[in-house]
Amino acid sequence: MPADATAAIQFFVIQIIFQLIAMVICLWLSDLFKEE
Amino acid sequence: MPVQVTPEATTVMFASLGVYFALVLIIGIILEKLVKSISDYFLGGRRLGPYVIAFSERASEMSGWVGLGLPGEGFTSGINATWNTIGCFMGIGDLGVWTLMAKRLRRYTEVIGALTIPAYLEARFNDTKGVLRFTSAVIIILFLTAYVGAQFTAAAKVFSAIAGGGAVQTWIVVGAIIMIIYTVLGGFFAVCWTDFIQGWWALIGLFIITGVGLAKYGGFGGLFQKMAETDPKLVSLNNFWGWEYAGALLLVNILAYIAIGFGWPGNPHIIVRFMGIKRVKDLKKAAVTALLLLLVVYYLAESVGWLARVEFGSADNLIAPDPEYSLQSLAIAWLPPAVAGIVLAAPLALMMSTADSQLLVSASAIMEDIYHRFINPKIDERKLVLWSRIVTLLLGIVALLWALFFGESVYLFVLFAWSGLGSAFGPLMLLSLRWKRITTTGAFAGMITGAAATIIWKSYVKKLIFPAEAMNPNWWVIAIMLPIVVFILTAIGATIIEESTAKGLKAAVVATIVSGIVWILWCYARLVVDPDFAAWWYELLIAFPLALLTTVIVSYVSTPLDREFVEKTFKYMTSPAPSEQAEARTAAAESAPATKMLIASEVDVVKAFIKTRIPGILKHT
Repeated sequence: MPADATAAIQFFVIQIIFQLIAMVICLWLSDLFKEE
Repeated sequence: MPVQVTPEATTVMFASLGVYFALVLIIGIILEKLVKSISDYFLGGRRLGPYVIAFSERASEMSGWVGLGLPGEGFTSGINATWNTIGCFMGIGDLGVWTLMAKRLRRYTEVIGALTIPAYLEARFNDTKGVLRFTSAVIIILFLTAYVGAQFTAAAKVFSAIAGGGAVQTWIVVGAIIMIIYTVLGGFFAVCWTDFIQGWWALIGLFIITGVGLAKYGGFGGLFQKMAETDPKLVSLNNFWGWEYAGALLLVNILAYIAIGFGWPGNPHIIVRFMGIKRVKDLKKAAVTALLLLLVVYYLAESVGWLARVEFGSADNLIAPDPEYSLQSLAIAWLPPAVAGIVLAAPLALMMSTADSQLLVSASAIMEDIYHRFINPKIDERKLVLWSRIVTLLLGIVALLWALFFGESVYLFVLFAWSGLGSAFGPLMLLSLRWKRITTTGAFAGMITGAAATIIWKSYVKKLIFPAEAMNPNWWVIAIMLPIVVFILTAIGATIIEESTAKGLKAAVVATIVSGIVWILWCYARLVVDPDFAAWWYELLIAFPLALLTTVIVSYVSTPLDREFVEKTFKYMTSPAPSEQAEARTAAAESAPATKMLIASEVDVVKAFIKTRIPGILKHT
């Protein structure tokens, strides 16, 4: 696979993982999961 | 050789579309019975479940731009189209609104009984004169009606893929009428339930087409390799719309994509969904569902563009020479006509699900926020529902006629309305839910600044409203236009709010200086230093921060809200709402007998134990 294509697919995979992690952290810190 | 459609295939595809239309129409007719009050019509009586709300929130946002625009972005920008997903998901995009706004808005609007965003603003700021409510309602009507028309025009790109000439217009009218009928009949219930169906329909349609494509090209690995072979720019992280950028210009392009996310907190047809959920604690289920749905649908839509590019090579080989025909071209080329019809209904479903939500919010601004609040507060509930239905119908017809007579140019109003609403209400909604120091005057000044900056930039730099060369003013005319508009409107609004001309003028001067300095510097940098690139700048990138800054600074120089009132407001936002308290009481009452039984049975067990192990002891107890 060309180097550019490898870099592109890495960018694609990393951004998905990054967003999922951000989602978990933000939801956890938010008041949505806070029980009153 | 461009993709072509046979007449037989056209008939079968229209039959598939017909099934979709019939389904959403039936939902509207069935749900009509549930509408008994104005709260039912505009907010489903806050009785909807988490998954319906989640799909509705997503489907209301994912309009023609996700169904057609994102595949087009994927087609031309390749991997960099995914910056769209990052911009829309992260920051104050969908993740931000669910985590920062949803719970507080749902709780507070229940306590005060608000059905609309302008009604929320009126109560939040104790705006007894209704300045914020009236102004926000007018801004909503202006931008959202334009937005509905834009969705109808976008539908032409679906219909024209399978038919030509007059048939396109006829099908736009058919689709619009069906959407208007189910919205008029079922109100918020119909809008949310059809959104649920439409969201699923779009998801399945996108899965079918990308599934077929990824199977053909050997998964994402094979697809990326093929993209590199087709055009190395597609896998280059510097390529935007076919041009290579580096350094600051690359950053500008990335920022322009990320700025799309600034529209989330202020678009009322999205955030009003939070207010319609039945149980506050179900918001977490809704949030997770909606956020995952965003990621899946956005990436699928971008993948459609990549697949179309490697399949067809150039836009000239699509069904029409425009990258926004990616989905339609793939569906027609790869799928049997009946399945292609289902896939083609996907972008259509996204457009209808956005238009219906916007139509209802526009109608609520006219009826609930202007007519009911200012003109006829004592109107009978049944009459109010009837008139709201009539206004929904009329607004739908106006939007349809506008789309039919002005054609494709109306489509450009999508980003205009998104930006206008995003900058007028985004900073205001975020700050009003999270910041105690915000004042009514600050809120008003920020709202005016955001809306005006969008309208001026879009009209005179992007030439949306005044395309003629005659309307091509010097840069300094554009630069001083905003401070003048902000000064006049803020002076009027702030004088009424503050009940003092001196205080009103003081707020107006501060708003003018703050927004004016930033705006003039921006105009100089964009229109004088780098004029060739000026029209590329997305207005939301400047209008949102400008509105945010104005709101904050003007809040510090205007009369603060009563401290006790603010504390009470934030207590309502952060403590269980009446429905949650009632639910907790019911749960406690239900669990109480069970506890007694448990205790009784435990006592029996102990007694039995004692009896068997220590005979005779119970006699003495």
